[in-house]
Amino acid sequence: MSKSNSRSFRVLVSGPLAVFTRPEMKAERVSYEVMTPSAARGVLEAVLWKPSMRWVVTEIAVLNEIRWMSFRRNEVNSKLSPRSRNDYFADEDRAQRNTVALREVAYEIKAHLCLTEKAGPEETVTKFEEMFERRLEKGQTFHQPYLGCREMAADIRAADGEREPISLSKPLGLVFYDFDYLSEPPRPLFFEARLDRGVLRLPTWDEVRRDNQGRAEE
Amino acid sequence: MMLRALVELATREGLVESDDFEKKRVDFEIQIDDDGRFVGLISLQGEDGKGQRMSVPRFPSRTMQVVPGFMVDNAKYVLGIGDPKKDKSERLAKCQAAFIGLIKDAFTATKDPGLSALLAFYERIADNLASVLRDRSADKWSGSEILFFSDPTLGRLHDRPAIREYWAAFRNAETNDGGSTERARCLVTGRYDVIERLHPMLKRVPGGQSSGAAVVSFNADAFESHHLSQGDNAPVCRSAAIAYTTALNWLLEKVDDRPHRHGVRIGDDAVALYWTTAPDKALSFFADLWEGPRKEEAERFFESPWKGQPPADLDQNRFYAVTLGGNAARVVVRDWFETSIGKVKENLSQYCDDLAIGAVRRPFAIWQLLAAIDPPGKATAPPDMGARVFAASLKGTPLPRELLRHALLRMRVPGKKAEAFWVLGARVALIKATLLGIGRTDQNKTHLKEVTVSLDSNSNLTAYNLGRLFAALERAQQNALGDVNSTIRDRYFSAATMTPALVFPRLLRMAQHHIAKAKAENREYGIERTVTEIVGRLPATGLPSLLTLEDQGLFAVGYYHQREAFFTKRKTSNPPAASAAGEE
Repeated sequence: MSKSNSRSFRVLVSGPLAVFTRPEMKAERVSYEVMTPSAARGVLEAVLWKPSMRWVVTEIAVLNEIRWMSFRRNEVNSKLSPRSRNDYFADEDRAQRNTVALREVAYEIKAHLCLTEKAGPEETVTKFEEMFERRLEKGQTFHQPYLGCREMAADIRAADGEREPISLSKPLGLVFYDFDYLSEPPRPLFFEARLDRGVLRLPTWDEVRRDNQGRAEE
Repeated sequence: MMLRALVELATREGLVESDDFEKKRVDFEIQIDDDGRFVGLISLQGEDGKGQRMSVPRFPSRTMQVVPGFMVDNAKYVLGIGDPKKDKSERLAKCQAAFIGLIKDAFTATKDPGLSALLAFYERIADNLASVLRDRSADKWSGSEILFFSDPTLGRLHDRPAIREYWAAFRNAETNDGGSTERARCLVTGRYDVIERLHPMLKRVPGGQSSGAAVVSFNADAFESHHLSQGDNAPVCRSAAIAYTTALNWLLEKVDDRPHRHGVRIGDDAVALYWTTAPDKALSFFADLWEGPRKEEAERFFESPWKGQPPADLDQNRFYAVTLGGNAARVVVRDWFETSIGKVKENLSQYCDDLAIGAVRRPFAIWQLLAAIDPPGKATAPPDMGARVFAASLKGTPLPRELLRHALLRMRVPGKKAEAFWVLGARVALIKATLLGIGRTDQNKTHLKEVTVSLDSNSNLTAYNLGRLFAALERAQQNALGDVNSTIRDRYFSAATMTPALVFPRLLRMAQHHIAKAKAENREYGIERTVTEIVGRLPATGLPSLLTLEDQGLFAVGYYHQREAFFTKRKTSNPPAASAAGEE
């Protein structure tokens, strides 16, 4: 393997609606103000993902002013898998839930990819770099990329670098980073986020996990 | 960030005494002696029927299930007395058994004499209960009274140091209602702590259950992820959970003549709460503005909103607002807003200026504005309209354009004679404010920024002048005929606003007759001159055949201004000066 990290990609993601749900307001959804790292990862994975690679998001720049809207939808109370039941009627299991969503969002995601332990000898970072570029160019995705919630479809393309981030700077508090799937059951990881002239800079996975584990032993 | 800001508020105001004890109103004191015999029942209720505040072991949050408090609880748990209509005796027995169970555990651990006296009290509960009921008969109890025990030598039993210590230790070791004791990072404080599984409830949130509703709650499995259950989905430690809910309950609390300490009811099912990072006198002004202006204060506010307020040094402090509604057992956060106090002052001043109309020199409360656009007895505006008006006033954004449509629809309904005077004023104020908002944001409609507070007799806006003309014609009719059953406003207002070219020629012909009649009876009062003057301002090319929604709004404002000018004229001895003074 010649190198472990790919070069940085800049991807422009936008959509009319986005809900990056705060865990504390999850039943009656309220979004974070800014896209979360795991949502950015999800968008990239919609374009390209293999077990032998993973995405590392380093920066999320907010390109549109933060605007909100709120609505109610009829949802359901239970989770089920197709195997468990086949007599489920959504009408009898309604939960009306409120959502406070973001409107007209656009983000520039800066990320690179690296190989995992599952990468075979024939797989190289360059291969994935080129695959990602081709797929992004052609608009190919494995599934519809979305902004936090499956219903909030996203448009994704290579960033042209013409758009400036907004000028807002503020602390965002503890923001969800991602799930730590190495622990059983998976545990949520949080990081202290700060918007700096419209840009959210992300700590690395190792930093966050060290930060979250280190203090757990106190 | 909202929870963090609330925790800061709780700390600043010293709302949380400790995680294990809370201040609560207690209604009765049961005195017992060392052998557990009943001595007396003392009512601590004041004249307002409310009990005395004291520090008691923190109550559990419960809805339907039986969960006892420790040493202090309501009559159902302490005495097994409930409302005979609602409470079943088996359930009451269960409650009481659970309550005694906790005391037994405490006694095993501490051997405190207070607890042994209390257990002795329960051993002869039948006799003792009969004595209690002699002091206060069974039909007087509702089950919700909070009681505690005291002993002449041992004092308030729940206040005894050994018992308090036991309670704190018990709470710490408690496995959080069966949740994990594993520590996790609290997403409010960032510290590692035991995670609160069920969060305390909020009271008095409109639309929520009366027993309380929770902000952070996962009461159906569709709300949970990754095999996490309840509070583990949103790791918040106990002290943060207690602090933020205490802060919200404090904001929601009824104070004197206000329904909420720092909150405004907006619409039927929402309440907007607001607070700042430093105590600020301006907060009470905000309440006056949104809730129902008390006259003098509101007037002062209107003249110069921040007169007598501390200068701008506090303006850098943060201002927070959250709109909450209830959805059964859950609290819905509808809107969350964070800015500086200075910015809010600026936005509110603009909101007040926008709403200023004619001689009505006071801000309208939000409920008044909404009442003014609903037809009598019906609510047609969308339920979230109040919240949107509130948000617009805070954020300095334009009022929803939808309001214009609702207000204009309402204008077309024939006015009831009994309708309160302020209603028309509020309606037109809302139209004016909406127009100004559109004028500021829409590049193609900057002419809407010209809308004035009172009559602008130099305006060249056609729709505005048509509104004035309509008022003048209505006046001419009144001068000629006095009060009639159906005025031209009742019959033609709607058509005149929408299709002026069709209606005005006919109205003008009618007016000729009215003016002639008024002249004959010497009641003309210069109306002909006004009509001529306004007609002269209309375009020579002819009247527009259709008016847009915004122009219909201008029409309504012109109508209101002109009508008000007539009233002022009649009241003052010097008509020209009065109309000039009305101009901005």
